[in-house]
Amino acid sequence: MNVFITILKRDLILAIRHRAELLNPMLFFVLVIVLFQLGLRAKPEVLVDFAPAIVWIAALLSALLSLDHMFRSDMEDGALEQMIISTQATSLLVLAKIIAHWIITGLAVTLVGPLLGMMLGLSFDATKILFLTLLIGTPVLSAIGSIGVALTVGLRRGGVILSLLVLPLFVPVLIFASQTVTTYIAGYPIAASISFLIALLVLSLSLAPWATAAALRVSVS
Amino acid sequence: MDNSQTPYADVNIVSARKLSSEKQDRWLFKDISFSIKPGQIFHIQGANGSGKTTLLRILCGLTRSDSGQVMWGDNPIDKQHDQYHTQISYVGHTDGIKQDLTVEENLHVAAVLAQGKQQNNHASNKLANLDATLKQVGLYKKKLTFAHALSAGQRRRLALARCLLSDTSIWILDEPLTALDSQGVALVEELLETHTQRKGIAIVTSHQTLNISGAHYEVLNLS
Repeated sequence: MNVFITILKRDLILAIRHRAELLNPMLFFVLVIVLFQLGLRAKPEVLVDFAPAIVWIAALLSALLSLDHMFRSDMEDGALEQMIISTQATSLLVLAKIIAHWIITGLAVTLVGPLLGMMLGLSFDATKILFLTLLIGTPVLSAIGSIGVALTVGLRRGGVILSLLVLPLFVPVLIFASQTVTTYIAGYPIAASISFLIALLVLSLSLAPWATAAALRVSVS
Repeated sequence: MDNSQTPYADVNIVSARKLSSEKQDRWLFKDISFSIKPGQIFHIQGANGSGKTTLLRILCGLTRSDSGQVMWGDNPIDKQHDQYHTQISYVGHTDGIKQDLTVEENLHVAAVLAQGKQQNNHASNKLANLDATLKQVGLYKKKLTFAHALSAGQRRRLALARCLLSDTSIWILDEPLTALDSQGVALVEELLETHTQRKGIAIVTSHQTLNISGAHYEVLNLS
């Protein structure tokens, strides 16, 4: 557990000392939503229909934007090799890095997303549900994303392949999360979709670290 | 201190059996075999691009060879990865130092990662030993300095501090003397001398010759 906390702390300290890296995905998230609103110029009631999807697409893209940083610098300066030849379970180190990535990007999106949802015209209650979906869904993006990054980190220009690999896997999260909010607005029960999101969260957090650790071993060699 | 003069707890022969590695349709080396006994320094020499680093990475278990096996004791390292990794410290071309962490923070992470290494009951000692290790490599005064403010030689010293801290019996060092001043070179030689006296194994690539008294020294030339 000590090693988990140490790596988590290390990644958070590094992110704080690299503020641009910290702010970039957040700014991107806010800007995309604001631009959507400016570009659509739709009637408020139409915008409300789109709001959950807009917020979620922006969250998804901002996660994608920041994913590459998860292992890239560790790969370049040799820290990743040291992690792999340490006797600590690589999957535990990976889990610490996934959680750190979520705190740096996903948590901020989760906190700001509902405010932007309100700006798009969502009611207070719908905003609460949006917050809940972001809280459950954004860690899934970090976890699934880590597999894609681990597979492409050894490539010189892995960006395009990363998007191709990861975006299709993000789709279920996007569909279920935005669907949950629209279902709630329409007045239907949402317990099933929330349960599905939680299942995705548990599944990705428990399986992704192993897959990522295996992929990292391949990338490092 | 856990890195005292006492012999390492678990020492074993490291050997290579018919190792071959190919890169871009060219054999870097083919069918090389050797055996390194406890207390020995194995110096790998060769021209640039002759495969020294690749061989070191294969010996670490980081890269796979195209044929042949690396054995630790009687078994291939592939079959005992976790156990083997408790015994090795690797200082590669890229030294694994985070630029935006201080010297102390870097070493703290290394100490925690090394907690499963040999004599892991000393794990808490290792953290307490950070200062002693930093003094040993001459970086104590730079403890709170960011790694990006260190010179290349100081970074090398910091990377070497990791070997001391993890107290492992097999050191795999890729060009450890690069960028070091004469004091630094003397320090590396002194550390290697103590290491071999404790029956540790050192596998080193270097273009310079090492002056280590009393150690059993063997050279492999890849060119």
